[in-house]
Amino acid sequence: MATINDSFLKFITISLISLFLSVSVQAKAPSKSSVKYAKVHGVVCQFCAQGIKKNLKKVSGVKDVKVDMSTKIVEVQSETPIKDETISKIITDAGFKVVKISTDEKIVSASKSSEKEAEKKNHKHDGNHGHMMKEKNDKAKK
Amino acid sequence: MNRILIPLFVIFLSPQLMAHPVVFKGGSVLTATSNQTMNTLESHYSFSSHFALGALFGRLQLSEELHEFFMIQANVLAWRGNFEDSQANLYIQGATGKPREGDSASRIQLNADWEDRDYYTVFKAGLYDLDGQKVDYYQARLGFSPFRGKYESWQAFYIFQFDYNKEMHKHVIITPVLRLFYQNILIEFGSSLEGKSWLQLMTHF
Repeated sequence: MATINDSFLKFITISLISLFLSVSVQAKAPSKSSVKYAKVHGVVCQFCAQGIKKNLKKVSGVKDVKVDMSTKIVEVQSETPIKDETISKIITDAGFKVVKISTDEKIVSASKSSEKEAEKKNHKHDGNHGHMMKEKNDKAKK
Repeated sequence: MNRILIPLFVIFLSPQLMAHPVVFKGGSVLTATSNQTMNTLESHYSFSSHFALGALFGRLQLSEELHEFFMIQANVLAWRGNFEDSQANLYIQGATGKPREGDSASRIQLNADWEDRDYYTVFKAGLYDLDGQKVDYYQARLGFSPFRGKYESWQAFYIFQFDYNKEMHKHVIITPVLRLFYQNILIEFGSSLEGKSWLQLMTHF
């Protein structure tokens, strides 16, 4: 009789501990969410840029969209990662230019200086066109 | 809610509505323009960020003649410059249809604008052809914002509008305007130096 009670108590104890642990694990499990940042050019008018948020929020899984007019960054919060191409197409269809998309806001914020450097590099290596134009301009000056 | 408010404004308050010729892909806009000499009601749908198609109903008072017409209108964003801190646009609009009395009616209009968060400029030139009678008109706008609002907050611009049409006015009409917009609702109101008041409402959905 004592043995049965002990076994029963052990069973209950183990069950309760197992139940407690499983609930704790579920409570501590990280929520699945993704955030992407897009640097956008041309966003100078709130009224005109409403199409960005409106159409991005139509995408399945998107929870929230924030547009920062001062940094020109569009933040897309979603349940699962949204493809960069999807975000880029929607913002482009809204009439704006996407400069860079990243999961790291710092990379997107720093894209201003990197973009200008890339433009300079492209100008120098643009099929010698830049070099020819420079020679032409130099001759014209002389 | 906008689909109820907009027609009410048009009917009861006779506001002046001016829409962007092309908005975002899938966007719809309703426009009504009403002033001393011209009344137009336009609506269009943007199939892309570069092209919109719609209809235009207008009334034009020229001297002692009243012209009423209905047209189909196409709006094209011919060029857009998306810069880091500003945006510039060039729109071309063409419309053709039939007047209430007469055989043909058409309109062509050019809009050019540049704006950033602090300044706003627009130049518009248009030409009506109403059964061979040509009517040209011009408008320029220059505005500035006293503050920079956030994306979800309201924004204001002080604008000076200059209108000229030799058939309707003998001189340039100057109208100070206050523009306010909040999310997808834009309101403008002002009064010309001749004392002619007007109201402007715009929304896209």
